[in-house]
Amino acid sequence: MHFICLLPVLAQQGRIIETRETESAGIPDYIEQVSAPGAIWCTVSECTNLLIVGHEPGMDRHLTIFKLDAAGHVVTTVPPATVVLPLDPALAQYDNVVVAGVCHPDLPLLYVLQDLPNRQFVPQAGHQMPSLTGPIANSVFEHLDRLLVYSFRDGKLEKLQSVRGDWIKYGSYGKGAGYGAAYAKLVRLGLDAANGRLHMPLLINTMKREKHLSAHGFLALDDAGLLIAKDGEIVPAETMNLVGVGGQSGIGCVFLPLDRVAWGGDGGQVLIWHRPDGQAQILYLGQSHACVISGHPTMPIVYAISTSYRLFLVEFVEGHPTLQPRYLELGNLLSPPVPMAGRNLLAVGRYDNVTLFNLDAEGEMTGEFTPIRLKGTRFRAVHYSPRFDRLYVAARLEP
Amino acid sequence: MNPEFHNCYRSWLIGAWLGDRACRISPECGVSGNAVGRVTSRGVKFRIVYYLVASILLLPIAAGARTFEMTDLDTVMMAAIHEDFPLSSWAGWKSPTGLEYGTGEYTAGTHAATLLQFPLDRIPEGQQIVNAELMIPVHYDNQHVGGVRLYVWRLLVGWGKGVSHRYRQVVPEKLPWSVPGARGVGVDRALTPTRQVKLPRRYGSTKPRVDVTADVKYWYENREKNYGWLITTEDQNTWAYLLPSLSGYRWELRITYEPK
Repeated sequence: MHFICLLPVLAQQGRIIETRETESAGIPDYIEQVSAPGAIWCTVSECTNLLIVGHEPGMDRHLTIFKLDAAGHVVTTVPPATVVLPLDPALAQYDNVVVAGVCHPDLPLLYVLQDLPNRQFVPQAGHQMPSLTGPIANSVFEHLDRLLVYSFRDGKLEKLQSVRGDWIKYGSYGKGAGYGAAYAKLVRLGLDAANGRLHMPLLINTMKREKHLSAHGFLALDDAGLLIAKDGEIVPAETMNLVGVGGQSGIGCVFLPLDRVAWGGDGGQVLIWHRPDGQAQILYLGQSHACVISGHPTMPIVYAISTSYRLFLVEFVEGHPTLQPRYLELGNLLSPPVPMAGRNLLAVGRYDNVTLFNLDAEGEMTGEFTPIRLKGTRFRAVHYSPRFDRLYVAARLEP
Repeated sequence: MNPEFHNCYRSWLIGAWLGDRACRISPECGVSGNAVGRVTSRGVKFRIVYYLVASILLLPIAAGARTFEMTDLDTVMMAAIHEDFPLSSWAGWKSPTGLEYGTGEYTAGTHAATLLQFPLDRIPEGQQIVNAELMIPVHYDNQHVGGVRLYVWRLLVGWGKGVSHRYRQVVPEKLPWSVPGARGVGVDRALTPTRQVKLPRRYGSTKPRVDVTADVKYWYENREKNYGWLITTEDQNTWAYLLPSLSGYRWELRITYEPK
């Protein structure tokens, strides 16, 4: 009987998934492409029908906002709005960049994370990010709005809250630029609206600040989706300091059953916070490259891209990653993995196409993939909206 | 090896087969026909021994023996289990705080173990196993007086999704080990270890070769019983870290088989 129970597992011979390319018959009608030079991420506000695109630093805007119609198509008759985030004069020599943005699923709110490119700093010895101590760090902590909460009003943004603090690392943008800026992985905000938590990337283990160590944690949200202050100050409501993890953390966030949260991290790490037990787990998927992750919408599965050519599948059982992860190899994986609920597909933006990987009913990668050729190159900004059942691609049009 | 000696030696081997005793590749090396002749002239006994040894060495090739290698990336399943993190499949390394567990290294210890199962379907029907070696990169740093001994055990029961220190599988059915950590002797794992490997010093890195021919032979003849291996240490306060391929190392299982 036990042998029979193990048959599905034994059917997976080896951990490398063999790939098979299939040719696309054209561009699927559920793909919605917008022209957005220097796009680095995008997201959709499903309750206000807006597509928000974040841009790389050095441009004339930080965000572009496109209107969507009732079916989720981009409205082309109205020009998109652009947004420039103000920067304190004390930091005028730096290019600020919005590295992450997430919309509230039910409220007209946008949370964005602002940072500074690390090419503008001297990295801390042994790290790729700047030191968290000293006058430069103190100036950034004091003057840079890291987290901003906006409401949408008539398609425009209205700032509701902003947060500065010495508990969040800076200089995350552009990390890994040695492989080309397009390959650098972006951190993301983890919005758990149902539980009123905004999980924060780049949190500092404040006990080991000088060693650049990290922490898990979240900010608390009230029923209106706003950040809750504690003693007049917005600080993490709960944290767990880590001693085995440093550098960049929070490169994608996945909520798992039993109150587990997974983050992507430096060095090919998947960082799992077992909040109820006060324990953490570090799953290594590579040696040195940052690891960007996403979760299957219904199955306890984490998809992870490390080294820009390996796409991993990590399966969880009762809140624990189980057996060694399986993976396939394909070059130029630029965007985070984007699972498409209901279509059994996983989209990944690549250098000159967006590739759709087939999933089976269990969320397992079958190895079949279809590259979809679109206008432009460097497809880093890809987002799927379950409500509209559409895949949004913001293209960088210049070569 | 001195290349001249090597060449001469190789030439001599060829020559011996052909009855030519001179070094044909590198005459300047000083091994003349007479010199070689002097060696061989010591007696027919030497040549007989030579032919015998060479024949034994070449026999597997002549008989159609095949060797192939698998790495840990070819395994059907792998897991790292730990007494202090008893429900996890991937508790390979424990932080000094005891709150963080990672997979940068997998611990083989008295409180932790690594499990792995290789597929054997690359061996065609009608063969016999000549040799099988398991090679695992190991790092260890112990103060145990007797040094570190690594134990490789044949597992006797199936394991799968959700395997941990406590359970051998969770999905589709929750099945516990008879003794946590797969330590049930004769039930979870074999009565005796397949091999014990003494690591050379108290600390260091090595890649020991473990002869697992008997296990592979057994599994080849009883395929449904291939549940893989469990790797532990058994002596108090000893442990070894097994270094995984995703951290840049390479585990190997090398199998040689030939037609029956």
